[in-house]
Amino acid sequence: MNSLSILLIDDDEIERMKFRKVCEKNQFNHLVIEANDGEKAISLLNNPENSFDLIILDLNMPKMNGFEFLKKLKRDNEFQHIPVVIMSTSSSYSDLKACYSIGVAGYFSKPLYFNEYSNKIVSLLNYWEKNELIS
Amino acid sequence: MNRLKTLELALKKEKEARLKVEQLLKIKKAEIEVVNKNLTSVLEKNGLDFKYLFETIVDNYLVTDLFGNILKMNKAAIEFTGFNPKNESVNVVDIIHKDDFKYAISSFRNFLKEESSKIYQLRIYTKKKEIKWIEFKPNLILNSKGEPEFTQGIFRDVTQIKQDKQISENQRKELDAILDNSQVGIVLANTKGNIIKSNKAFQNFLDFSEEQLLQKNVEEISFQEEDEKTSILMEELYEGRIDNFIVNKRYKTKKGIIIWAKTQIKSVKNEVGKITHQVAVVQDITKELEQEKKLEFLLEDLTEKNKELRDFAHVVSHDLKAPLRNMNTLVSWLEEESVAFSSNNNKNFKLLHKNLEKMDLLIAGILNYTTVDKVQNKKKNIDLNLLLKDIIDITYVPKHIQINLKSILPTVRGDVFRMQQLFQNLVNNAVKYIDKKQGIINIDCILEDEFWKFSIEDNGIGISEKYFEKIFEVFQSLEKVEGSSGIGLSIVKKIIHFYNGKIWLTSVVNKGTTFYFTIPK
Repeated sequence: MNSLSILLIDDDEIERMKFRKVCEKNQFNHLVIEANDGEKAISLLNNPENSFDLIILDLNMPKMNGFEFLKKLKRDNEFQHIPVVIMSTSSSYSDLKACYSIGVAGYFSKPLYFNEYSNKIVSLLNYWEKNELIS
Repeated sequence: MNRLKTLELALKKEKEARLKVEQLLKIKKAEIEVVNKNLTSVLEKNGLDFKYLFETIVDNYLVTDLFGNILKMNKAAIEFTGFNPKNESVNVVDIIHKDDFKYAISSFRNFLKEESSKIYQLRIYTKKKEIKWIEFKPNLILNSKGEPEFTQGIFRDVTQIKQDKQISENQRKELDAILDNSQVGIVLANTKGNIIKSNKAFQNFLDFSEEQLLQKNVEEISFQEEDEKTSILMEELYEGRIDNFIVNKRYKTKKGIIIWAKTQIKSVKNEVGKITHQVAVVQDITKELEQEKKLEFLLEDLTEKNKELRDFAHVVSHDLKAPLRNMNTLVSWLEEESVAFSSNNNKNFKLLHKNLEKMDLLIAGILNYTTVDKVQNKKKNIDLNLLLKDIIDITYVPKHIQINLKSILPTVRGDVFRMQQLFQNLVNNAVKYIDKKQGIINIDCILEDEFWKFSIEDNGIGISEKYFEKIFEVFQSLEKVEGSSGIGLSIVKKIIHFYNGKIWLTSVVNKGTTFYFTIPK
């Protein structure tokens, strides 16, 4: 099993728990580092000990929100290549369009049911695992 | 006997008196004859052909002595006055109107003193006791010694002119009264802008007295509106291409307060078309402008409030979704980890899930409802036949329900998503509430004047008439039906209103319901 280094950015404690639970249940050994807002995420990125393969980003967050973080990331020469997948409550078309125009690798709206969520995350991680293998 | 004597005496006296009068008349007549002879000789000496004059003058002509006895009148004068000095002795005093008597005497004195010729206007009585206005121009006839001996004069009937003048004077007074009682300000100025006349409303408007305004120029009480439009209009007015225009203008009151007024400026021309004056009709619109501004402000405020409300609903529903999702997750984990729970607990878990689902549905509903009138995407031509086919394809329709399209549907202009929402909600509703073994839904459309009238008929449970209004309100679901948010019909109504249409229904309980709605062509 190839292991990914993932930066999970979400202010919601339970959302982060869900992600961990999916990894746990499926016995993934990815490295998941959590940030509860954009500012914290930037500081984690800038820590030379970290090197991320994938960023999973919530949009609606206090302090620095998802859009602001995304813009900042995509302007940074060092980190702009890291793929970002949005995981948001919003299913509005305008938010989706805004994200793609800045540059994201995927956009998921958070489902009501944990089962659905679990399926989405599993397929997402499987995809990026393979992707990582190829590159 | 006594009485007879008295009578005889009286008769005698009367006879004596008459004799005296006759004698006096004889003397008078003789005098007049002498005077007449004198007159003729005087006229002859002056080289005037008296007879010729008499025949040729069309105007009324008369000659009097210095005591006012009328000696001669031409034919016209005789006809006009009804008097003939040949047959009766007439003095001007007898024919002058009592109210003009003083004026006549003083005029005559002045006339004798100045010996100059003036025109006098006065009233006379004709023989028929009619009152006539005449214009009289006398002059003196001098005798051989160079002393005045007679007067002669031409006079004209000016009764009609006087009457006309009186009428126009009355009319002017009436007009003045109208002007002064008018609620709009009216001001007359000459071409230099000097104020000549103003009415009460205008005086009150600027707080000046009539006299004060007469000293003012238009420029002192109003502002020259510098905008191009006004100056072009003013130019056109002066060049006679237009004769009035309306402009909103600022005025300055006595106290220096600036007032906005709607002003109609009109040019007044003389007979040859030259502009002599300008009239301004002025209406204070300060209050109206204030009102307008207030209204504008209110509208802005309302738009703002509406937006706030929409944003609020949006944010709230979004923010509600996250904890809801979390609760759902936590409940499912709890459920998983508590296999040993009693069947009662399992039932409660199911109920918990159901309620969470319901809440999710409601939140989605609010989001949908509040975004109906959000700035829409570009309007497109929508073929409703295709749209409805898509809707039926994606809607779960149980096998026992049949959907019939009764006619070919039109193509309308609108937003695809909204149209989808509209038809989907109505079709879903029809499907949802069918309780018969054989369900039928008929969709139809006819053209009525400017509108397409759609109908969606079902043979479902029906709706009691007392709920006809209520079902369109937000969160009004009459039956506890699974998957119903109670927002569907309020969204439908909002969309139809957005397109300036109407929605209504007919229904019989247990038989079915037909929803009708219109969309402009």
